[in-house]
Order: sequence, then C-alpha cells, then structure tokens
Amino acid sequence: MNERDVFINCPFSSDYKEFFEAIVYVVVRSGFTPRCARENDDGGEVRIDKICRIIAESRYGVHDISKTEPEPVSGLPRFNMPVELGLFLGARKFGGKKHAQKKTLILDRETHRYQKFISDIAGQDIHAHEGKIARLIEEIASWLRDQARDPQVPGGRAIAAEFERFRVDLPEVAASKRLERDELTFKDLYAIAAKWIAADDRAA
Amino acid sequence: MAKVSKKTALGRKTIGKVEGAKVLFTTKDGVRILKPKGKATHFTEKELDRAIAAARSAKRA
Repeated sequence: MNERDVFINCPFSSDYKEFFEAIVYVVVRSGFTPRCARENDDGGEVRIDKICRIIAESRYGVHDISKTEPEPVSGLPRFNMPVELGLFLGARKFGGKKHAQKKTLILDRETHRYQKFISDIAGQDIHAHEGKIARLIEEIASWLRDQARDPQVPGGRAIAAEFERFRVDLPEVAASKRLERDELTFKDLYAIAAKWIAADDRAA
Repeated sequence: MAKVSKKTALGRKTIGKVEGAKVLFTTKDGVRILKPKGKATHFTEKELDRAIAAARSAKRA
C-alpha cells in the first residue's frame, strides 16, 4: 500500500468533468498521488480487477456518491460509486492490519441525504459539497491536510482560487496539441496539474 | 510530518522521496508535489512546459 496514493471514486460523466478535474488538482496540490480507474487504458485488465488493484495500493479514498440521478438513456442510476466505496470499506475491514489503516472521505451534496439511498453507511461522517466545486476542494484539502498531519498544505479556499486559474488555462494547454479539454486523459490531467502548479509557484 | 530523504540544488529545489513517493518539486509554501507515476498521453515534458507557459502568459499579458 502506498502511503501517498489517493483512490478517486467519482462519476466520469461530462457533467461531473470539472469536479473530477478539481479533485485531481487538490490531491496533487496537497502533496498526494491521485489514482483512479482511468489511469491505465489496458483492455487486457478486467475493470473490477483494476479497481481492486488500485484500492489495494491506495492508503486513502475519496468517494463522491452524490450522483444518484437516472441516466437519460437508460432511466437508471449508475451504481459504480457505491460499489467501489463498498470495496474500499471492505478492504479496510477484511484486508488485515495493513489495510485497516486506510482512510476514507465520503462526499455527497447534502450531509444527511445519503441516509435515503445508502443507509448502511449511517454513522459515518459524510461531508457535503453542496454541488459546488469550491466547497468540494475545501472539504478534500482540509481532510488531506488533517490525514497527512501536514500543516504546510494551504487552505482549501486558497487552493480553490488556484484551481480557478488552472481551469481557465486548461483548454489552451489542450489546444496546443489540437485537443478539446474533454479529450485530455487522466494522465494528461495529472501531468498538466503538476507542471502548472510548478509554473504558478515560480510566478508567485 | 513526513521527511524528504534527499535534497539537491540542481535544477529543482528538492528531489527525493516522501513516504516512498518521488518528489517532483517543493512549493514555496513547503508542499512536496509528487512526480506523476506515468507519462502524459498526449504531451512530452517540453511540450507541457511550453503549452503551460504560453497559456499563462496569454492570460496575464
């Protein structure tokens, strides 16, 4: 298990794209390594095996279970996030001494809404992002700072302000390779975030 | 707080490891930004540096 790896469990839908970018940014900016099911595009690896491998390698898990709306085409909600949260909690429960150290941040839009659709996790501390990117960043930054016991990590509002500038630059960075923003892969996003933070830090 | 195992003044402020992860650089506020495990899909290191510099300078011109 890698002490600095953060498993990101969230929707990958287009309406959540900026939230996903924000999670990757705040994890990198807080001095951690983001991990997610999109990090490798290996058709030879079964998806559930890949997710289990990443969970096994990650000390931390950030789970956003806020997307409960039915999909427009199927009329059904996607259950991947609750399943992956269950896998992470199961690894902590049954994975022996090492995996018992795993730490979990669970996010929803409202603090107590989850009780209506996933009551089995009642009693856990659920954080609300209220559907706002800045709030999401604040929650994750505060949690990671606390988990790492690293007072050097800046406050969530400062990181949210940085992310706003990063978000504005991102389409131009993508355009330099004739890419649309939504064509950037997870590995692109991670590399751009790390390099952009370095450039922003040098300019400060 | 985790310790950085090795420091160098060559090129970057800090290179080393924190809890087994390679450090890319340290920000002025002291956060150790970790080196991505894989390479970007669509960019080389130089292309990324150039694209980010161009995007930033265009916005701040």
